[in-house]
Amino acid sequence: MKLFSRACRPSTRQTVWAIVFFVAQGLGLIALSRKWIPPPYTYAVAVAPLIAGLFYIHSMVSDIRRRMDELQLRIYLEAAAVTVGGLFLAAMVHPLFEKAHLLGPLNDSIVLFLIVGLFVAGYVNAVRRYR
Amino acid sequence: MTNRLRVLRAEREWSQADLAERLHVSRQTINAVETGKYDPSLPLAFQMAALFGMRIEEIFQPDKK
Repeated sequence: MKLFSRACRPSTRQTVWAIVFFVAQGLGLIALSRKWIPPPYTYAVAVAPLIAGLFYIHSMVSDIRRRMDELQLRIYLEAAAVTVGGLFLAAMVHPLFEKAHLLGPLNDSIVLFLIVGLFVAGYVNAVRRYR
Repeated sequence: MTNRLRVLRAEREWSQADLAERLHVSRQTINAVETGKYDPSLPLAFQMAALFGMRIEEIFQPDKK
């Protein structure tokens, strides 16, 4: 099985929302850190990437429903289960590792890395199982 | 579960891609079903049976223990 089949490729709509999200996120961070925007409007700047992100998730889910067959859905489900389970486990055991001075504080970058890493690992494992 | 999908497909000289196209699924799904790594859902099994003009139990058999 090809690792990333055509059904897994994002649609144009999904790609557009991803670009809008990253642009809103990047411009928002710059605008807020340089204080270009006065206080009442800062809320709108903060909320803009959230809205774009929600539209991205909506288009991603509708793409998955429309383009994937039942085996591809199962592979995605297994990868998602590994991601959620792995994140839950990491969140539960992290305080112990931190108290044992094995790990530092859990920050956003580590969580993002864990999400991507766990999903890829779960996806590759599921693809190999059904190959 | 065992199945006769590969034999039935070969009798009609269809490739995995041909069968996948007729059933509106990916070739990977056909391959996984043929090799016994994935058991199809009931709707897909009914689609396969209808395509080959057979009953489901003539294509899929439970494992003998």
